[in-house]
Amino acid sequence: MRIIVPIKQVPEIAEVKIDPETKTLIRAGVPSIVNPFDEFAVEEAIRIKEKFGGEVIVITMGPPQALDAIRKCLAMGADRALHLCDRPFAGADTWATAYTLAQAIKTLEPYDLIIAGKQAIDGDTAQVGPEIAEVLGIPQITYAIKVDISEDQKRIKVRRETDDGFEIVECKLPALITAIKGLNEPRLPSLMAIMKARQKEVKTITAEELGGDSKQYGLPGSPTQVVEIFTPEARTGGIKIDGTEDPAGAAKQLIEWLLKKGIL
Amino acid sequence: MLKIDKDRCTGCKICTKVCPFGAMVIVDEKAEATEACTLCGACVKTCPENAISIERRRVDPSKFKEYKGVWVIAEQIGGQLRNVSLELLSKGRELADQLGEPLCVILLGHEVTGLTDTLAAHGADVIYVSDQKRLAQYTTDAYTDVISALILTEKPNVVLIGATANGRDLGPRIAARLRLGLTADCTGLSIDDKRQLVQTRPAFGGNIMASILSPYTRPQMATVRPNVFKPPEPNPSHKADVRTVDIKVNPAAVRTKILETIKTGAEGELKVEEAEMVVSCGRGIKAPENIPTVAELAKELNAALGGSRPIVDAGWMEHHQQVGQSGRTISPRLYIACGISGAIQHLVGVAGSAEIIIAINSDPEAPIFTISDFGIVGDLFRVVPELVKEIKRVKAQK
Amino acid sequence: MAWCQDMTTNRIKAITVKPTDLSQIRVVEGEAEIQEKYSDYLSDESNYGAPRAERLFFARSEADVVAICKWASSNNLPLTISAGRTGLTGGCNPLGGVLVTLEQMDALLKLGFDEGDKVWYLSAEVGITLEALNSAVRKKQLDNLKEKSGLDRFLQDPQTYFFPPDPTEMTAHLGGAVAANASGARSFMYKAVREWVRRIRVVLANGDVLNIRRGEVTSKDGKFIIEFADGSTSEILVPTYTMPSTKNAAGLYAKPSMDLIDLFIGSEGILGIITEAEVRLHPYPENSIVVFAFFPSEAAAVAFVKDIRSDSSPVKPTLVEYFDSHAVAMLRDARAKGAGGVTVPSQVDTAQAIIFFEVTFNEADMESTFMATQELLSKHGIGMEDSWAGMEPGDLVKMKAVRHLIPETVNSLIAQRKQQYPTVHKLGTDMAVPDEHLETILAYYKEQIEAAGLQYIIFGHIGDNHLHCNLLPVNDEEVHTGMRIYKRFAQKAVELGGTVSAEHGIGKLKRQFLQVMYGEEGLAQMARVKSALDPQWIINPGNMIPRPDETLPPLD
Repeated sequence: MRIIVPIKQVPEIAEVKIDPETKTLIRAGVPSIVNPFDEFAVEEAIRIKEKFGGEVIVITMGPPQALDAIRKCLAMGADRALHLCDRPFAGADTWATAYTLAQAIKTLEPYDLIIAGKQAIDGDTAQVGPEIAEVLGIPQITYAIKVDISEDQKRIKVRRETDDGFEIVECKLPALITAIKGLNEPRLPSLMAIMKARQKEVKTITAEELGGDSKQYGLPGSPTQVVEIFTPEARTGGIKIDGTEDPAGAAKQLIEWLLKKGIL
Repeated sequence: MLKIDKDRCTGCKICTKVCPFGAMVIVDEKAEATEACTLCGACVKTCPENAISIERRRVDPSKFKEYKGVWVIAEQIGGQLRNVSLELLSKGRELADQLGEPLCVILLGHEVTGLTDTLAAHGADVIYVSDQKRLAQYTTDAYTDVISALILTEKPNVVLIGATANGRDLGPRIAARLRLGLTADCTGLSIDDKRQLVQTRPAFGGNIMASILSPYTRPQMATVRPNVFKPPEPNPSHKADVRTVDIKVNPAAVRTKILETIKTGAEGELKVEEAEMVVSCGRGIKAPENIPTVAELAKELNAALGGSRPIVDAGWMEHHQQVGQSGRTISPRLYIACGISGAIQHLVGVAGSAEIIIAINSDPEAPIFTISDFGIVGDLFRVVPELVKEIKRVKAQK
Repeated sequence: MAWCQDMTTNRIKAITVKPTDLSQIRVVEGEAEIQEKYSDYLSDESNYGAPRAERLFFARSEADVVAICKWASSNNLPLTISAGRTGLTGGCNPLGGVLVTLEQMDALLKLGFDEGDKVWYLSAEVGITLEALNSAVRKKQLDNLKEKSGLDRFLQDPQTYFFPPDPTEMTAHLGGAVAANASGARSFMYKAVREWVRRIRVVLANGDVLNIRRGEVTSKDGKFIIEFADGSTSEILVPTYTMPSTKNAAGLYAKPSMDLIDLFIGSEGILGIITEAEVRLHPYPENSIVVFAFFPSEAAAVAFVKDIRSDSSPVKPTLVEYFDSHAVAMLRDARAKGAGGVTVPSQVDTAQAIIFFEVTFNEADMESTFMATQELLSKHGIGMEDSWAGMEPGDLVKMKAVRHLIPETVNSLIAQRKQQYPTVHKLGTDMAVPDEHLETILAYYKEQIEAAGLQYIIFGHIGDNHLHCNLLPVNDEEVHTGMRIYKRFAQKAVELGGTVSAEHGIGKLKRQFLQVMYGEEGLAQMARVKSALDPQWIINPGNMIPRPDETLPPLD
């Protein structure tokens, strides 16, 4: 089976802080990581490959530093990677990102399965996966928490999380699925795996090499435009009382406060 | 693109400090934008020398005039409307009135015509109904096909979809098919002076907010976070023009097959994402057998019971009860955090979405107190039962 | 050469610095006011004692410090310095009197290249955090440098540099790090702060200032002579005890022929207030890989350590850390419970010990480094898949989280027990022994604790034979048992030629242990040094050695 995993390098959100004066994000020193949902996708792809044979190809669009993220996926066990890295790709919204990635995925035909992370933790849009599927004209099953490939490798059965529980959904391959937490436990690379990853092929692709409708790439190809960025009004701590000595008194104060606020 | 007037630029670095994307750098004492630039305009506003401007693509707005109406894609499950559909009707009404355009609902399903009265009462002017067996359950293909076709023929100005699991499965599929801009999980919507839909959404785990336009495409599409807007008061005398949609789903076009549907959560259990009040507990609960202490408070308040990521990870609570950035999106009026110290992911998950936050924690330095409106420093096992007692007493008085 | 010897001197002349007008220095007065609004300044992480101060000064310059010293000495008031407050022994916790914070003295002063030693050096005020210092140096963001003469050349140098000592808390101040001779995990390769300090400026109790440059003042016949600004002199008798050969943070540095700067480094502030330090910078390694190796037994892990740190090892790690079987069990338990989102490697389910090490390499020698490392691991039973390695920032974040789980779990265990027995606390050792006694001390630790039936874990800087042995008593009785065991450990470490404190220092918390190491005579010699420089005993009193009016309670 040929499995393609689109990934994204993202900042570690837990380490992002807000400058109290300028109210902007402090990005200095914030480590970059592979989007955690994408790690589930990579892991699942590797497990399927281990069972059925084939190859796992990682693909990402991003600046040169995104190579770190690619290397990480290769160390986990992906076989090779495409790195879309060129100035015209920059500034893409979800549509332009999906379109560009889809163009690159087309060069890898025939493929059997695309596994994407549910969403990237910096943008949280969850749109790129389905948009890729649409551009490629293949079915999608989102929010996969369990994946079964049929023995003949022609069909996929997915347990997908919904707002009310789960659905078991089946479709023919090729298809795109998106991975959520709980799908698997991503493996940790060993020393030797990291070394081998350094020898695996990473193909860098420029806009010109990719071809396609270059007007759809990057910022010019993005139908949405960010017009303003602002910091939400920061919540500040309000009343704080000590209830260690007299919990009953503290409870009473709180309920009175809630009554006064009209909440109860 | 971002244009920097090098003659005006003094290399003062203010733009490098305000840029939320770290895209501004100083090269040879002049500002330059790197490829991280998203044209958000933060630097334009703050440059003291007015040296930065944005050249946006010019569009001929004349063709946009053909696109009229604010659409809400209704979501129903087993003949029950989801709350978010009604919430969208109240916001949709507001936007439609501002634009002077009708508010329309797209209702897909099987044997759902009974819902049209409710939708009308909640403000729908026009309801497009496609009632067929193949739409009984949500499938990406069938729903995308019908709605995309409808959009192409009817040309709405705005399309709003609830940012539920299925809404976020459907939205990008339609957007990609029609090559439309789509903004995910919006928490704010308004109309600007150019009659454009301003879509506001959190990014970076809620650390920043972005306002987004779709200047070049129509309709303007957004998925909208549930529970952000309040449903309108129903007006039973408000009637809608109900139109039957004549688009048949081709079975061959539906490539996925739902083999089984499994519901989780007890019947009648309040969902954290829908509840007006949420009581939630964290590691301070110490052991799963202590959960009833907090559950009792939830019961007394008629609140949903949630948990922080560590205790859901530990298997002490169900996945669908998880509150915080990686869990369910909540938007209650009242949020009570018991024994949750407040990891950053939890704080950003609740800070922007709950109206009032109460924290009970034994550690006076717990980060949760930095966002709580009312905090009690104390042992939750002593404070929570007292709260239950006090609520009972107040109820009895009433 | 003969004339060289003549050049060296054991005399140093103090400099007069014009003091600031005291009224110009920001001060908060009143014990209650300080307690209420500025309590953060009163304690380090030890929360030792009941710290209190009547005045809190915010010094902005050396001249401010001089003014405060002159005023305090003329009023005979004790004066305590508060730096980054990351210490663990109460060193900055004031016992009344005056508290001075140096946090506003955080300027980067000068960069220079030493043509003789071929090294870059940086001088800075002492209130800068190591984090800020390293961030400025590594990113070469040095716009704020006061004296820019060396900057251009530094910026043009393609190499990246850093200040290697890394106590875990990088919010520590430079001054605190020098005064404590701080060390950390990477001290295995880079040694403690002492190795990196070229020059310091020190304000003495009387307000005189010493500018001490390494190599300029060396003790002669066991003595230093200080010429004060008023013309008087004072003789410092270098203590005659023999220091352990291990990494050491206990007591004053003393050697027969020693540099004056070394007396002040690691002095825990009792000899004077360091206001400026010049430190050496080091090329930042191009790449590093961090490895968690999962061993089937503790013995195999120790054997691996002995191999990797031997002179013949082809791999030169920057740090080598150990988790014993109890620490691994803690991780195993955390993994089973979900660990609050921390990725705990599945290998903990079968491993009995973990060695955590870091190896730096250049792109060119990557393959040979990796092969050599794997070969070394294989020799001790670690297969291709029995390691978890990380190079990417994301991996390192995950690894850090796993390491953090240990102290976090320990602390929450103790917190739970405290609810029943409020006086229960963790007992953490900080001893180190010479290389040849690593296995002896490990065996001794286990034997003693297991005989007493206490819960414990052993982890830490095994590369330097510096293991943190944490005793986790469940009740008051076990606390007492633990204390007795702790004392035996200290005695054993000293017996084996080691130290009672390799890293955390003595402060106010561990003075009895210093006595175990150097005896009453040793303490008396340190007190003589103190008296020679601070006859009124006003500066940082109570640290390291007892005040003259104080008798240390016995250990038991």
